[in-house]
Amino acid sequence: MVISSPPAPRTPNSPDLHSRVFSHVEVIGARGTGLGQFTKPRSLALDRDDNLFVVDLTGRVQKFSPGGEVLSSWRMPETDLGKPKGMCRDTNGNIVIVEPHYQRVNHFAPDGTLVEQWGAHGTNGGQLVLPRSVAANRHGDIFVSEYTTVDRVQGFSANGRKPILLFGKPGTGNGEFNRAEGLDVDAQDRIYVADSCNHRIQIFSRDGKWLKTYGKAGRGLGELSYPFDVRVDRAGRQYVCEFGNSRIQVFGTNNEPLEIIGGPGEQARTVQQPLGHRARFARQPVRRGCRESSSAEARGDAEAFLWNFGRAANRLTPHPGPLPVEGRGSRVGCTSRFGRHCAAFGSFGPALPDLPKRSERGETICGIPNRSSRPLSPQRGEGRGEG
Amino acid sequence: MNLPLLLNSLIVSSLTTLLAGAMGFLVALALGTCESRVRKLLLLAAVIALVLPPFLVTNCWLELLGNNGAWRGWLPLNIYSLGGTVWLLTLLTWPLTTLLTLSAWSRLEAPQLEADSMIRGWPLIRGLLWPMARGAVGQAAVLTFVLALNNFAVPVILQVRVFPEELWLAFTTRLDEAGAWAAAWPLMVAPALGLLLLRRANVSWPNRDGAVSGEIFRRQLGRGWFLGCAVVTVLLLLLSVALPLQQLAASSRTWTELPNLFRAAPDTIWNSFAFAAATASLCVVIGLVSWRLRIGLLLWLPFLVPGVLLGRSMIALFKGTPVYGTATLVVLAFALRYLALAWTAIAHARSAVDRDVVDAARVSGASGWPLFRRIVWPQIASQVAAAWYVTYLLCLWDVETLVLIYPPGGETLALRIFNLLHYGHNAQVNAMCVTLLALAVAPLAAWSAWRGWMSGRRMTQ
Repeated sequence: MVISSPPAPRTPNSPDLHSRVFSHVEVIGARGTGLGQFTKPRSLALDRDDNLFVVDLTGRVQKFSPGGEVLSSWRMPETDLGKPKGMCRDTNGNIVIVEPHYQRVNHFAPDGTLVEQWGAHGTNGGQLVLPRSVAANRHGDIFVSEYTTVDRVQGFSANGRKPILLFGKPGTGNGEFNRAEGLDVDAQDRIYVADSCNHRIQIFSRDGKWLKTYGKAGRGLGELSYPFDVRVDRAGRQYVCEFGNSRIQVFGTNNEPLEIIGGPGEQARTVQQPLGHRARFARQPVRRGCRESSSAEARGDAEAFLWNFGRAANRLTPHPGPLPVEGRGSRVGCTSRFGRHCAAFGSFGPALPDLPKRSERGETICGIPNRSSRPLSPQRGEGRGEG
Repeated sequence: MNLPLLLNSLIVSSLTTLLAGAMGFLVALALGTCESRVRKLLLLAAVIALVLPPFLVTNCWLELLGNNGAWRGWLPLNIYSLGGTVWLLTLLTWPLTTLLTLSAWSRLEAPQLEADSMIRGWPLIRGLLWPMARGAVGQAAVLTFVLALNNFAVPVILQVRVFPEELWLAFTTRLDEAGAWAAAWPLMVAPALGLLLLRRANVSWPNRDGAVSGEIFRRQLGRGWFLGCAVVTVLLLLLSVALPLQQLAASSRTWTELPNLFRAAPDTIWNSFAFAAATASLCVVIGLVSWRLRIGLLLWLPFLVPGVLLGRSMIALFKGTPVYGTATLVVLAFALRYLALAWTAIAHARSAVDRDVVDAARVSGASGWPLFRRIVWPQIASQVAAAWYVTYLLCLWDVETLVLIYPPGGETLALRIFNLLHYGHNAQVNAMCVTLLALAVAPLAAWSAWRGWMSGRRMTQ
């Protein structure tokens, strides 16, 4: 499923999505082993040209154009011990894929050429145990989340991949993790961690200092059930995929819940919004609905990809007009994985420190005071779907 | 066909069968030496060992001997190994041999044991006890072998590659349906052979009191054998029952994670109960309606084949129908898999109904529903309830059958545990296991409460 912000090409079968942020959903691919088909898609990433890269449980990476056409594919070098998991894009434009069972990180050029591979097994700093998710900041540093023997996040420098950061340990307190699955870095270099079995999202500064925790176990708006990934767009909105609730939840820059997208099954789902306005998630043209989602990809042009497990990629397209929320839209993708669902997260809380009033491209960033939304002043590129 | 994986499976099953058989036999010897009260207690403990959720036991041993295990410092054994798989499967299946052996010895008579007071210890075992129990031990071995061969969840959690997992991957990842079915024949032949071997088996429940007094048994067995079997029994019960339950109760995270579990995953709890209760009820109804049919042996086949194959068959049968992708498919699959147990128990109970009483009631004019309700049902109620409960328990813990067919939002606690345990011990699993145990005990508690209420009502009337 692709949730998109710019007026992405809409196919005739794209169902409407009555969402504050997105307008419709499109389906890419189907279940299978052929080109353009998926077998348990695990993760995804976008390159600079908005091409979509998806890795599935066969260890195959497929590249799709922004229109959803398959362009190319390649296989991971080794898959005997296990299949690849987390993906992101580094500052060189390469697609980064972690292999948990090989304890290594791979950087592929958009044409599939392996340009860099690093990582060593171990529990010491700088070594990897079971890397699950990966993220890159704007300086090129790579962050990796791990669990089993350890429960932590490590940072590696852009040059030389030297360990520069290590934080986290098993537990339920602030700064502690219980299966840190998903990871992302925002425009202010804050690190977001989807602390899946603690049913929350934690935010850390660039040097690993704990800043904030959102979320508690539950199914309601602002509550979480096994969040498996989180993505932050340039506007600061957060998109969380939840294993336990089979949904995505969108949060604003102050981490207030905006809406829930999806739910288990193939029927139209209710989209909940803070003001109580209820909308229906349109029926998807595939047999099963939002079943399991595990990872997200956020871009500045508010397009979100949400996968159904073993089936197609679904694209949700945001409203083409001025967004009712602050800033421009963001592109978010969530892959489904067996047994993992999209989730909601978060609860209302104080604004994050250092949140700029204006985005890098000049949009006005508005919060949502008193849970009400207000349209932004028209700005260049705002709400027009430009990336 | 992946021969190394098949070999892995055969090694795991064979070693489990040998170990579980040997231990089970020794425990049966120990139980034979016990007086009535102690014997009942130990028998109950053996049954608990058999019906404990496999995830509970696996989670316990992962916490002890996993990568961060509490015992790894002084006991450098790797649970993530073939040996670890054999160990866990042994802990889960040894009661089969014990129960079947005791049922064989229920025919034992005191004069047989006391015929020659000089025949004690090993000569007694070799000359009398083993020949009498040989058939039952063989039956237990066949059952244990097939169950271990088909077991999918424990080896996968311990990251040991076995043949059923290969089938699962072929179905779900490589989408090689034809190849998977072609390679699955060993896992279908083994249960079929097992059925052939067991078709004339006369399995009965072991007497709670034993045919021979414990004192006589103990005297004839001899002090050495008695002490040895007692030590094995105590150790086995500690390791397979006491340790997992203690680990569950003693861990503070077990209880602190419970509220989050109820908040984050209430659907899984309801799904677990609903699927199990619906299936058990369906199986009981089918058993009551069809007990006269000669289908008993056939019904055991779905029980003995791997759940993955059964799940795949259900998909092939129901794809494109309204049932596909719904909870109904899960209930049907469970019913197909576990009908044999309920059906066999109900058929046995119906066959054992006192015909004279039934005839007398008919002569008095009773028929149909009143005859069933007033004459037949009181005689079979406890066996039917036991059949319902055993089926309920097995459905509660099923993963293999469910993993391919559960609908969106239809995940159960067992499946959630399986997913979480895939990468090692997790504190949340303890809370889920407690909830599973609570669900397991809930029908018993409800039954006891209902009986207490009925007794109180009768007394006041």
